[in-house]
Amino acid sequence: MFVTSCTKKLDTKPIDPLVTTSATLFDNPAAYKQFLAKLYGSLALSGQKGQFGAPEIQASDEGTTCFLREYWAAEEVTTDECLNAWGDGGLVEYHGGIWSDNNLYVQLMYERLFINIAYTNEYIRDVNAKLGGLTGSLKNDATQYVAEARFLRAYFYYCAMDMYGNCPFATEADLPGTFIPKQIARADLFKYIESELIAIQPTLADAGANEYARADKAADWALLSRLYLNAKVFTGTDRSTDCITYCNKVISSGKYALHNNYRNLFLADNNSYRDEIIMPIAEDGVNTQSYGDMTFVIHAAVGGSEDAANEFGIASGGWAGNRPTNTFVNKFADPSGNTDKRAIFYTSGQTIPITNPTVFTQGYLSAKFKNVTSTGARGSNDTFVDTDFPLFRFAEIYLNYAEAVLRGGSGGDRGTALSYINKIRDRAYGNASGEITDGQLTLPFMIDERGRELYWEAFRRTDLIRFGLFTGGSYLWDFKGNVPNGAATDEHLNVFPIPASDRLLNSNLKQNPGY
Amino acid sequence: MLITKKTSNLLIVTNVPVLSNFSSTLLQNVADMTNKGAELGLNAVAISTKDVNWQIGYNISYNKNTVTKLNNANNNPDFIQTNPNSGIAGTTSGLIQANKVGYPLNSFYVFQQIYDANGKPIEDGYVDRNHDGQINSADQYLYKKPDPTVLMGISSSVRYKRIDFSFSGRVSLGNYNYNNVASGSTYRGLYSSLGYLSNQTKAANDTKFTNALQTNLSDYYIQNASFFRMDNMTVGYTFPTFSNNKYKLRVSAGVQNVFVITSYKGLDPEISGGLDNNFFPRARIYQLGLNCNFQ
Repeated sequence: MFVTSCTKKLDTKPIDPLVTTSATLFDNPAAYKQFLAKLYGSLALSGQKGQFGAPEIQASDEGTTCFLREYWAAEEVTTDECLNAWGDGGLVEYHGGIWSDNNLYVQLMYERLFINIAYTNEYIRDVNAKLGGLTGSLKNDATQYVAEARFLRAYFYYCAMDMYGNCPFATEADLPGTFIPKQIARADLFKYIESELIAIQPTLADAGANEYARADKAADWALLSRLYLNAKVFTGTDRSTDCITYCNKVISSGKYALHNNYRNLFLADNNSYRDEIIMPIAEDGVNTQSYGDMTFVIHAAVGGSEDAANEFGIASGGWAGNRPTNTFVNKFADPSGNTDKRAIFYTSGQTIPITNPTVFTQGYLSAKFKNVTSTGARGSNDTFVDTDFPLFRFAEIYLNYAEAVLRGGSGGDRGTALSYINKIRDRAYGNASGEITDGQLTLPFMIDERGRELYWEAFRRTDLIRFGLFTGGSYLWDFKGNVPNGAATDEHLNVFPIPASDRLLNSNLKQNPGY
Repeated sequence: MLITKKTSNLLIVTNVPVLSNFSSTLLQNVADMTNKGAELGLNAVAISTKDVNWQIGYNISYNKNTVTKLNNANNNPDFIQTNPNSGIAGTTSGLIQANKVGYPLNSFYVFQQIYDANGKPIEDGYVDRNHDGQINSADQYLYKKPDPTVLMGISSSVRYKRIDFSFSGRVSLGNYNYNNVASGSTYRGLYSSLGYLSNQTKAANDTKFTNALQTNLSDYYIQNASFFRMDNMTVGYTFPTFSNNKYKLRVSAGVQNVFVITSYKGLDPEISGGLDNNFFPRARIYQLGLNCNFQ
């Protein structure tokens, strides 16, 4: 009788050079940057395969699982800046302020943010474990890559904190598997994000010195200024002084200025405007193909009698979904765009007011984002756009500075704040006719000016909440509260609910009040 | 015959807690399901003489299907897992089927429609099932199922001297379809937002919906698809043998998919999975046959 057994170790690596496993991934030094590219790609893409077909998140429409589409919808469709015409249940609930914890878009946004965070955690964990064994330029690069991954993670946690308040929380110290994440309080998450962003500053590339579309010190400072501006909402404590500190860092770096033409910032060749765009979500019609990134932002806004092919560069046609409410159009004294060039509305064949949200020919259309270049040439692909999405833009820094000064922060003064606002107005009007006086620089002016400058760039909901206008009855817009002239909504809507699907699986998560 | 069948470790795509994995859902062997039912079959020779022969066969089966487990996390009884394969055509945020412990497989997950005094559905008028003052996705409920409760088969063959006639048919009771063709057809759909007129089916006249915000999630479109289908009928004639029993000849004529009796308003009630959208119609086939035996 024979008994046989193995004597050598049973843990082996596959010998086939075509098979990559987690143990062999980093044997190829190019993998460090490739994996980092995946982290950046998760801002725009739905999965590992372009277009559609291999999604990371299950949904009936794969395009709805991408970060930019979900974040944009949550920040814009819920506000006066966008009324959606498709009649999709999730979006109707967004604009009407009637969502429940069962809302599909709330769930998709949640899943996307935390999958992105899970990937960054994995990257940081894996690369940190390898750093000890690296030398030379690869080690320097890898150290910087980890800092950029931490930046992305801080940014996604910022979005999650803004959207959901108290979130599930895990870092690279928590291994993936069947553990159940604990919930972190909003104010504690704020402290974590702040500490991460400050800790990585020395390792990030200098302002404007990194490869295009990668995070650098300026992006870090810009995110911090945004974080501190909203600190009162997130923690209850005002941090306007810290906001001014970081605005000043960006401004005094000398690398940034307002681009001389507002409209060009949102066209297909906006990748060349590194003077104003601090960090974009990079897009390319051939290499970044997704239905949930800038492709969505542009296509969804085109319809009616607009010439999709020649004017917008998307010959495959618009999706006739998003357009601004009438209330927002009236934030411009002159919506024609002749004086204030930021009013880029398409009005031919469009009627106002909007009585029926699902009729796309009612209401003015926004023509801000296009897939044509500044010389009028169409983008490289008829469906997938080349236009980058400006995630951090220098004009925001000026606006943050001015608002922080008005809110009582120190380190800045009204005179400088006024000059910054007037720089923005000069660029918008093309001359000094739009400048304001010191007496006109008030907080109500600031929220309107932020709308005029930053509309459709995914700021509105956060801004309106900060000013106390998102819910309640002080500011009404078309179909707020699902009523044509707008109705007051309840305060609990300032934070989205934790999706029912996750709460039923994770008993650690307490629901936000009011849901 | 009575049947109780418990199936466990079924493959199901189910949600996992966020941050625990790199995907929102995993395909896991975690679901359990129970089927309880009964079957009965009867075969009879009604008449058997030299000239006439008549046989009948009949069978009936009843099945009650219940999902008993959906995930390994904590098996919270309120957990509803939507079916990712049940997307509604024509919208980006609609899944029409879901699973919940205690309900049949792939039940429909819909709003409860309110009807006016004439029995017509009120556009976007739904019951506030949780009484929170708002109509939103928390007011959806599980309603009916796509699989039949009772299945019957009936077949018969009659021979009178040289003529023979046979048929076979099936009955399905208790299965419901989601009529996606009707739900996608509204007056609002006539005006494409790109500026031209679109076609809609006549189902739009039944409801006259002009705004149609969430109407495709209404239980008005979950329609009873019980049916009786005559699968085939055949008639044949056997010729007298000739040439000293050397040849035997029979001609026949038959129809497949003869007729369907149903109250379902869509194209065909018999749709596997219960989602009626772009269903390719079943053909009715007429056939002639010639059967010849050479000795």
